[in-house]
Parts: sequence; structure tokens; C-alpha cells
Amino acid sequence: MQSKDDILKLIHSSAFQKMMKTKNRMVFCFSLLTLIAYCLFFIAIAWLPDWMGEPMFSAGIVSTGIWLAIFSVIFAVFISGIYTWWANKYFDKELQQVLQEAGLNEE
Amino acid sequence: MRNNLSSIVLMFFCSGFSSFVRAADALTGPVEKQPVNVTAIIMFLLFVSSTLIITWWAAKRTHSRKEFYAAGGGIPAWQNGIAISGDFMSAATFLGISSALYFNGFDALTLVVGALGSWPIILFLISERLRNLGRYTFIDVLSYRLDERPIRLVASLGSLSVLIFYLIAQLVGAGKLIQLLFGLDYIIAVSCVSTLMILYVSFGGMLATTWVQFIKAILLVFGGTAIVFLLFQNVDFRLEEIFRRAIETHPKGTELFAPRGWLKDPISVISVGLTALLGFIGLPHILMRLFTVKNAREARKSAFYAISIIGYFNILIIIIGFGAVSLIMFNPDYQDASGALLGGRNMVVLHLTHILGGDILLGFISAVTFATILAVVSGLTLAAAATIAHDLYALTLKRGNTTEKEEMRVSRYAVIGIGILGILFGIAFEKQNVAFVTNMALAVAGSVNAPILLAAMYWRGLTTRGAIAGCLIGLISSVGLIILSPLVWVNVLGLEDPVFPYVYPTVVSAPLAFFALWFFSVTDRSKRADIDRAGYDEQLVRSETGLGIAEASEH
Repeated sequence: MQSKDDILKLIHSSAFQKMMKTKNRMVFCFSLLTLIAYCLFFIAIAWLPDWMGEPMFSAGIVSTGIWLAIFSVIFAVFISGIYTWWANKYFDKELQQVLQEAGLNEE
Repeated sequence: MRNNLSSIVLMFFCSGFSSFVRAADALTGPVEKQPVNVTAIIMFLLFVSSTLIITWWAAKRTHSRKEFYAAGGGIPAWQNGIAISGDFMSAATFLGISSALYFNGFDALTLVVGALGSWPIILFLISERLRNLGRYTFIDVLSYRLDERPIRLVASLGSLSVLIFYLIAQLVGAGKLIQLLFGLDYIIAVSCVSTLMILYVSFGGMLATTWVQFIKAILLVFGGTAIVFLLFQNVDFRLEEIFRRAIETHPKGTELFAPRGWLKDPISVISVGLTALLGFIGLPHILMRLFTVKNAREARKSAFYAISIIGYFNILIIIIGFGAVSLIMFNPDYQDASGALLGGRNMVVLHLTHILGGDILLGFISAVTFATILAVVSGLTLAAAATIAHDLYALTLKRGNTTEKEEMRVSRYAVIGIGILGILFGIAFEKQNVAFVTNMALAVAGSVNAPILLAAMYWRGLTTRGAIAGCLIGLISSVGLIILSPLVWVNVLGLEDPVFPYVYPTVVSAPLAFFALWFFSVTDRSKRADIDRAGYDEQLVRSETGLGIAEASEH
């Protein structure tokens, strides 16, 4: 059981701040990448409908828009996978260390 | 309770069988009903009986509030991930998006990409903090540092509107679909769905709901894969060939793969994009599923499993929607005399299944579709009951001075009440065009729930006053603009010229909500505002470290 003071102490500890800096940077970059890809897709539909409707490859028949939609589905799964892998492998470990140093480890 | 349950189970089966007997008579009834499919009925009874056995098993394990709302918090991440995808992939996705692709072509992909765009954001920004700060509903997170009673009250309005709108849309769709698939009367179909949903949720709580969604997700993915495999077999496993035949058959020709089939102007496109992105983030019944796992790490993993399954399934949908064109369009077996699709626009997948796999596969997919509806309405009902019993009754009305037993009793009453309300709404809306209800659910989720949840988690400056103002303005503007939009103004009220031209209001209402959140927070000089802002540090540490999570979930 942790008191409120213990918790507030943590926010000033350099280990916690360092961990949060990495975490925030990761979350920010991943969210931004997702949003950029998402916005580009919708902007292209809104303002470049002709380009989206043409076949992507000269020999092919499937339009650029459909390829991009399929690509964005795969991209979403891929980027989520990378984040989850990173958070499982590095963030959780760092968090345990920070908590241990602060004497707040629950296990 | 067990005796109660078994007598109700017995009652249901008797009434179920008698309606099937009547369904057989319906063979000679109105034309739009489908002939009774024996495989479908056997598959359906198999699903219903196995889920009722699971409910009986789950009821024995559901004693506490935590077990009822969150299955005790002990669901493994992979299982929760599959259940989330089962909760998320509704009949609207399976039947609606594939037929929208079939008829309108490319533009329906905006919803596919919309769903897949919001899930990574749920994973990165929401899943971990939500799990660490909340207990049973996402409203727990909002009230963490803000003034609890007013926030719970106002946020419940947004949450319940989304859930009720979504429930109406699902039930009306379900009634019509079951009428078609099984030849049941509309009212019997709606009552059947509602009764089963009441049984699953009131007795088995989250544990039974999870299993129903889990089984259904596996069946749905399996069924979708089978259809796509048969489609590929039909064209000797050449992907291009599926698309080539679609263009050659469809009257739109190559336009089928180009934008502007349904969304005619740029603002409509952007509005759909924004609605899908924010709307799918703010669905209370999906967020609630993240509380069924042990900790933030498991919540993150379940979100990733869910994204993977949803992504795979959406790619199947794209192939199914376009693949159906060459096989069904202009096929006299599946059109009526006027050239319209037999059974209505949403039947594309089912006709395709029939062509590719005959009566057996059609029966299987019909039963899976029915299971899909059941699983989604169960999730919606459980989330609504949790909001009513936990957020409104126990913590707002009774200020937390209530026993666990009493709260659970209220939530069970709420489930029954919602079930009955669902039947009444279902009957009232039978002849209405309900397209606006789904839009309303997504628009409110995107203009109320998502903005306030993101602000409460990530913005120190948010105050109680700002949150209430943002919630109310988001709710009023999104519902109001839908009433002024073509969907209600023209289609339901029968007036000419809609006041607001776009079917999704989020392009206006979400920015308004964000602005109100910001404006009424920064200008807030009250004492309460200081407490709200000062609470952020503690919330931040807890939300990232998960400290106090155990106390929170036992509360």
C-alpha cells in the first residue's frame, strides 16, 4: 500500500522522469505516425479522387486507393505490433526498476 | 438462482421451438422471408445451447461486483483480445460494409480504414492508462480527479446515449435479418434476441458475455476465411482476377474502385474520417472490455490481439465485398423481378455464401450472423447496466453508501429493463429508416466520450466545469446536427432541404466539444478547479505505474 506522499515523491525522481520522457516520446511518435498516415489517406480521397481511382500499376487493375486502404490496415497492425513489443520488452522492465528503486514495488 | 435460471432456460427453449414450428409455416408467408434453413437452425440451437450452458457455469462464478462487471479481472490477454474483436465486429461490419462495397464501391473503405486507424490510437494513448485508473467503466477514469458526482452524471448521459442508439440499431437490424434468415416474425425475432441477451448478461455477467463474444469471434473469422478461400478457388487463386471480374460485371465499371461513389464532396469525406477515428475510440462497451484483464500490460496485449484480428477480418471483408459482384449481380437466382437484391441490400454476403458453399455454409454463416448480433447486444447491455448501477446509482445517487449486493441487484434490474426497452424500441422503430441511429451513436461517441477521455488522461488543465461544458456541448451539437441532417430531417421527418447537409456532424461537433473543454477549463477560477489541476500529478503517476490498481479494482 502506498501513501499519496510516496506517489508524489515519485514524480520528482529522476528515474521516473527519465522513464516518462522515453515513454512519452514513443507514444507521441507512434500516434503521430498513425495520424499522419490516416490523414493522408482521407485527404487523398477528399482532394485527389482521380489519382486514388486509377490503377496503381500500369499492368494492374486494382486502384491506388484500394492498395492504400489494404496497406493502411497492414500498417495499423504492424505499428501496433512494434509498440506492443517495445512496451513489453523495455518499458515494463524499466517501470519495475523505477518502482523497485523507490521502494514501491508491489511484488 | 440456479433453479430460476434453469426454469427460464426451459421456458426459452419451449418458446424457441414453438416459434420455429411457426417459422416452418411461414414458408408460404410473405415473399421476402427466406425458406427455413435446417442447417441454420441446428447451428443456431447448438450455439444458443452451448452459450446457455456457459452462462449457467458463469453464473456460479459471478458473486461479486468485480466478477459481474469485469469477470474478476482475470481474463487472459489473448482471450480478451479475441473477445474485443468479437465485440467490435458487429453484423453491421460483416453485412453492411461488404454490401456497401458491393453497391457503392471504394467509399465504403473509409469505414474499414477508420476502424483500423482508431485502434492503434486506443492502444498507444488509452489502453494502459484506462486500465490503471479505472475499475469497471471509462467514467471511473474521468472522475479520478474531477468532482465525482456531476462528472459521473454528465458522462453517463453521453455513454448511455451511445449505448442505447447502438442497441436500437443492432436490434432493428437483427429483427429484420432474422426475419429473413430464419423466417421468424419480426417481433418474435427481436424478443428472442432480447431474451437471450437478458439471460446471458443478468446471470453470467461479464464472464458469460466474454465467452459469447470469444466463441462468436472465432466462428466469424473462420466463416469469413472459408468464404474467401472458396472465392479464391473459384478464380484459381489469382487475386487480380477477383477484382477484374468485379469491374467487368459492375455497371460502374472502373469507377467501382474510385472515390465519390457515396461521399460526394471533400467535407463529407473528412467528416467520415473524423467520426470513425474518434467514434471508435469512444465506444463504452469496447473500453469496458479492457477492465477484464489483470493490469496495463495485459490490456495493451489484448488491444494488440484485437487489432490483428480486426485487421485480418477487414481485409477479408474487402475481398468478399468486391468478390461478390461478379457472382451475384445479374444472377437471376438472387434478384427479384424488379432486379433488386433478394431479401434486401444487406444480403450480399449471405447470397455469396449460398453460391459458394450451398445450404450448409449458408446455414453456418446465418447462425454466425445471429451469434454476432447476440454477442454485440450483450456487450452493449452490460456496459449500459454498469453505467446505470455503478456510475449513476451507487456513486452518484447513493454517494457510494451502498452494499455490493444492492449494486449488483440494481445492475441486474437494469439489464432486464434495457432488454424490455430494447424490445419496445425495436417494435417502435420497425418501419423507420434507422440509418441515423448508428450515425448518432458514433457521432456522440466521437464528440463526447473520446474528447473528454483524452483530455482527462492527458491534459493537466482540465477542470470539472470544462469537462461538463465539453460533454454537454458535444452531446447537444452532435444529436442536434443529426436531427437537422438529411438522415432525420428528410428521411424521417419528411421535410425538404436539410438544414445541415452532412450525414456525420462530427466535423463540427467534435471541434466544438474540444473547444468547450479547453475554454471553460482555462477560464475556470473556482476552488474546485485548483483541486482538479492539483490532482493531475498523482493521477499521472498512478496511470503510468499502475500503483494502487489492486485497491482500485477491489474498492
